[in-house]
Amino acid sequence: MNCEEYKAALHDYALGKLAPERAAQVDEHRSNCPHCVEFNAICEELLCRDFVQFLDDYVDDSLLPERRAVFERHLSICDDCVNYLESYRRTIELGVESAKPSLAEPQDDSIPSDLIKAILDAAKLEDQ
Amino acid sequence: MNACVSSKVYAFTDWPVCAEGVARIRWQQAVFLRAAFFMVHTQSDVELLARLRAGDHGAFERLVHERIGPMRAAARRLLGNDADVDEVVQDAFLALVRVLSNYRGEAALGTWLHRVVINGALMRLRSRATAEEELPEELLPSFADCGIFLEDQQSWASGPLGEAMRADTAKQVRCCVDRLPVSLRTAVVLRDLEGCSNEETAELLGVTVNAAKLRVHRGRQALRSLLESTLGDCAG
Repeated sequence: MNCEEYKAALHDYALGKLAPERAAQVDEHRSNCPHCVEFNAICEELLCRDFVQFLDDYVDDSLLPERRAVFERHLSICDDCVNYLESYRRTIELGVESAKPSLAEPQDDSIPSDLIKAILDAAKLEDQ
Repeated sequence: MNACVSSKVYAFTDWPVCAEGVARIRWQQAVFLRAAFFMVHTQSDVELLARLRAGDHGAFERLVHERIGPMRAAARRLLGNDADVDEVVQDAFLALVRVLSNYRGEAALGTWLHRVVINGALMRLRSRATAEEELPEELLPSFADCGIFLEDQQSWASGPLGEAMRADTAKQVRCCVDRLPVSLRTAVVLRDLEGCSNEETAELLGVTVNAAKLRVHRGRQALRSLLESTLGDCAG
């Protein structure tokens, strides 16, 4: 097993989806490959679950620099978290955009005339 | 209009004067008035305020026509499609009429009205006192015991969710927001759709900043799942 195959197999390995012989190859590569030492350290530094738990702080840029660096390193090796982060940011954008008056449908802007009349009548009564 | 995002924000100098009038009105208006901490000062507001104080009904009518759409939209985002929406909007305009004589100075009436509507809608939600809906677990990401995602996360970049928003997409997004449990919906609406800060969101919800942040975060995650399942194939 080479390094690329090792990295590609890790997700299924962690979920216990690999056949025993393939899992043994992963174990062997992890134990013996000097090139994957840094990669393994990053894998163990932050779990996807913890990344997601503090994702709002990452998006708000309110993490301490050293903590943010940990998040950045995790993103450098984890496609799932990259995709989740992008979709989380896009969710915020979609929410913001959906509230723009320019995107309101015509019927959303149709104001009942009796409501306007009620407001104006009540305001005149308040004035008196 | 976004009530919380503005390029020029000033402390609300009318507040001490308005406070004197609080005892004369119902407690709801007192809560409304507390919304007016920050105001935007524009020349058109100064002129409009002068006309309103002079009893210019035409100016008031123009203000109603100009502001009622965004105000109803804001109330609807919090309350859903509900008759309460129109009552909250009407209450806001009448609150303005009641405080007008004590309203010294130059404030952004649109911003003030928007905040009053937000407060009014939140009060309505609290008064409903319904049992909190549970957040379906499937709307939150699930992880294996080892801490990695149980399912592959797809990119949204090449699907419809990555495209520029159209009116029909905006409607679908609003529908997804409406489907969130109330406590999460209000948090997401205030933080993202109304542009409030975490601190403002917490104050409006009457919870700690950390509690507000948690609601916003869970609400965003749930909304993300609803958008993904509603707005179609994101696999690209």
